[in-house]
Amino acid sequence: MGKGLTTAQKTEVAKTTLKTRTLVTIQLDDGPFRILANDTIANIVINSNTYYTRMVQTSEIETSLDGTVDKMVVSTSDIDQEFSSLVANNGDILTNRECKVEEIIFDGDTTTIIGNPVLVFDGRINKIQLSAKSFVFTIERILNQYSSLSPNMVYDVNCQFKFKGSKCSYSGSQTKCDKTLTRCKALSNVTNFGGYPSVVIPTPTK
Amino acid sequence: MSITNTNNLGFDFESPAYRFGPLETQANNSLCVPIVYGQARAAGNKIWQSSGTDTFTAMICFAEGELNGFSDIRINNILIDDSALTGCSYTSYVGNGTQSIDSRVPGATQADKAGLVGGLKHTAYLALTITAGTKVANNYMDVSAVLKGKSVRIYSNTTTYTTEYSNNPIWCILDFLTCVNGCGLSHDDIDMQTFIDSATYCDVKINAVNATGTVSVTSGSTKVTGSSTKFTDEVKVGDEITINGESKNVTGVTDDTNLTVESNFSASASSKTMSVKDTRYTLNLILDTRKTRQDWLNEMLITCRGFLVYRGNKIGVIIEQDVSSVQSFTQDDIIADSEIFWTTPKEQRSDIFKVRYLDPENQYARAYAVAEADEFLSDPPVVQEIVCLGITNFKQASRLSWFYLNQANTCDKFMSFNTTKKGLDRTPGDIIDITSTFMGYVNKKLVVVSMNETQDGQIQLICREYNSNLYDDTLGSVAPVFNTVDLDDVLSTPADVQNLSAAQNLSSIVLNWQPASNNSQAKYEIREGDYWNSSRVVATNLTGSSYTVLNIQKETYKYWIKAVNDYGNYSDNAALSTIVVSDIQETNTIVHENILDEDIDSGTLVNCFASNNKIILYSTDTWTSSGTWDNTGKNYSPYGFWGASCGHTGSYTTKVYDLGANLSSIISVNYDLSSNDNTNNVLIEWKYSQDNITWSDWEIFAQGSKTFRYYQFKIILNSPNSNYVALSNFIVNVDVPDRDMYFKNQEITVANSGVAVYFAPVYSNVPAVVANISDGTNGYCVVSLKSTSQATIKAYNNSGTAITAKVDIRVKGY
Repeated sequence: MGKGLTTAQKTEVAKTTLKTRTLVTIQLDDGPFRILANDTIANIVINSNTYYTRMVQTSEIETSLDGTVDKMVVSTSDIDQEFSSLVANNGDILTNRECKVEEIIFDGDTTTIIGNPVLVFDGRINKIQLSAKSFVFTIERILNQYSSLSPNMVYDVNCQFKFKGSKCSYSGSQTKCDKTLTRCKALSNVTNFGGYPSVVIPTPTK
Repeated sequence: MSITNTNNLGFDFESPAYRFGPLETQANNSLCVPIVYGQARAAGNKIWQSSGTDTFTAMICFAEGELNGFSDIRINNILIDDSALTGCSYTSYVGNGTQSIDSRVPGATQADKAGLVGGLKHTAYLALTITAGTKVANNYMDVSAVLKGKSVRIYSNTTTYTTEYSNNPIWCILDFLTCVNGCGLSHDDIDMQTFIDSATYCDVKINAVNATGTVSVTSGSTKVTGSSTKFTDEVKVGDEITINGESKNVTGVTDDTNLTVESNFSASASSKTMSVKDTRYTLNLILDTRKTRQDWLNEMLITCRGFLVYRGNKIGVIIEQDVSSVQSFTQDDIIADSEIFWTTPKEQRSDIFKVRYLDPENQYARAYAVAEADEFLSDPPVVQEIVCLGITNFKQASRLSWFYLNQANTCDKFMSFNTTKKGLDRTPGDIIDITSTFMGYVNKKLVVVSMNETQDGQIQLICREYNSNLYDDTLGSVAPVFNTVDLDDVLSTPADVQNLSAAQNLSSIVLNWQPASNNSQAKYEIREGDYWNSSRVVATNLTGSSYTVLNIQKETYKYWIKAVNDYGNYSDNAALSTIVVSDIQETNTIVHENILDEDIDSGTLVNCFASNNKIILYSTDTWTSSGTWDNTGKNYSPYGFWGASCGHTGSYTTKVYDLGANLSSIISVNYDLSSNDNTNNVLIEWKYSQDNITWSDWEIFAQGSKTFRYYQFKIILNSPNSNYVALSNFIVNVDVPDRDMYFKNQEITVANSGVAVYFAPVYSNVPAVVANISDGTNGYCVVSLKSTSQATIKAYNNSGTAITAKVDIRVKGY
């Protein structure tokens, strides 16, 4: 089914000589951090967004039909210590941030970009490593949670609904819930209690 | 290591529904609240029970809501409304988010009740009142039910959907990917068009087969009534049936002869054949144990051969189909020396492939659908097996077993190569074609199964051989049979045939009979003559209950019939029907001749002799030294001739006979066989020709219609016990059917010339021609000229003067 290249992009990539560049975008609270992979071009403006040049190395991206968890490792220079100061001042605000890697296709040897960037990989940041010179992180597909267990609900005596979520329905002023029946009664929300207080608890075998 | 990486957090991973053994109601707080897709039987988890031994109440939870209902509710495998469970009742709750707690739970208010059992608004459960008895007690109670699973989103386009029950695997997968109790993804993360396309593929009705028996329907009704049908074996809910041109989806199968469909039939029909199509892929699964989401997704994807893929930042689903290549790679696109070719290792191929599925019609037994290779690669054969808990019908499992067997064996070649950014638009699952100097392939289609986008900007494509023949939904085998079977004993002697009747129909006799009662596979043999043993064989190896004898003559016929099984055992007694043919309409018998009269000497005799217009096997008696015939232990001929002991076989071949013209004729023979040994028999062969040059082979004679001019018979007499046998009155009948031609309103424009009509094809003999004036003019017609190819008709008034007129002309002959 392809990645959705336009006809003009398909025509360009079919040529014997092709010029492309890699873009990395990290979503931060203050706005996206945009990187143009190592090039002599100082920066590039795409759709009114400016991408600044950094040295970037990416690992292989392995994609398959067998449900293999997809991830890629990105290493970018941090000689200006932008990322290290960000973490030092704000804590780990990078983990679980959205990040995408894209490819732009130039029209021949010019600097004219054909169409929109082609998305190569998209996910969330995990396993960050900072050094004096570099920022290394892993981007994991959003389906990396495939390894988690489901169904999520069990016949537990405690409530498993998200506090103030649609099934909990609590709309009062309290901000915390310890998931017990006692707390739910205290919040006068017991008719929405999402646990099974009378279910038999197996006796441990000794 | 993170605590979340330690597997099961102490939960019991054993599935109550899919583990071995009967379904048992659990009472366990470590079980998960199941998710149900499609229909599944489960025994639930008891979350509360009142005290008491004679009468008590209980709450059995089955799944996360909202379900679409419960059915077939059983306690200890007895239907809850059975008389054996008198005093037991229930109320069902589907978990719709607004439901109240059942009144059986003690408490003045809903809050009081919730304090005891929880809110239960989103839980599907049964509240039961149980009266203890011999079949149920407070410590002996397994409650099971068939659950109609949760409603899921069904998209008609990428933004429009309805939420309803579905057992389409793709919509169930979508729900699992997006529901809170599953993967919890946003619908914005989904490439919806791929789900719509794949769901459509799964929904296709395929493999039309005719059901056993016949059916009747009534206009304005949804009911289908069968006769000799096997609905419970051959039809299931969701199948598409077609009756009398109307196609409907089945909504319920009551028993072997009654089912209902989704909407009323528009026309009544009776005794019609019904064809049945089943849905290509369905899913019926209860997720009742905590496994990784990947495991559950694989469990669902395998039911439809599906794969999850990425397109941009969205997740799509694809099902391999017979589609065209999306991109061609030639040697110019492949980075030099990057091609690697390999084949599937022997141990990964398959001689036998088994798909294990659950059969709801047989108490959810685990059954196998097996596909076997025509030729085994290994000895002993390599047997591969997969378990598909979500498949609950044989045909789907069988199609998958055939697919996986043939995919393993016919798509056994793999190839990887590196390309430039020319492969940027590719994703796993794409079909590409490759022209490779390395392997000599030209536009060979491959499936991309894996991709590596390397650090140096190259893209490595790993591909598997593609076989477009894999996608035609072939069944791997026939359905397995459960429980008892009801097969005829094909070795047993067939019962006597009953009620043989003979009725004349113009120049033919129609024979009907009641088939042998104890052997449905019996065949039938019909003979004609005074006795079964001495009669000529009219027809043999007949199936059914009717046979037509053509080209009869005016005489008395005695027809005999016996049933015979596959091992040559005849029924004990022949049934007889006698018919007197006193008149035959519309016949043109051009030959009715006994060829054993004066012609007998013009034929060729082998181990036979001709005497008194009979063909008789040669004698093998010898003259003894005492001057008498050696007739020790031998029979005398019925007519006092010596030579009672005969050879085993002999033949008489007639001369070639000529009809005078090539005719489409019906040819039959009659003869008399004289014998005093039941084992004696005669075989009649013939050959025929249109030009006396090119002849048919010698064929066993069977009366019927042929086009020929020349013919020749061979009569073979057999006597296994070397006893006297003779054949006489060998009468050949050749009948040419009449051919009628009508020429209406032929106009005579020149009175003295009349009107000519021409016959095509021409008749063999000059036909009868009758003409009448058709335009109301008083007068009469005269056939002035007539031949085998044309006729001329003139019209005259009553004074004898030729006139112009319109005439109707009828021509009849052969």
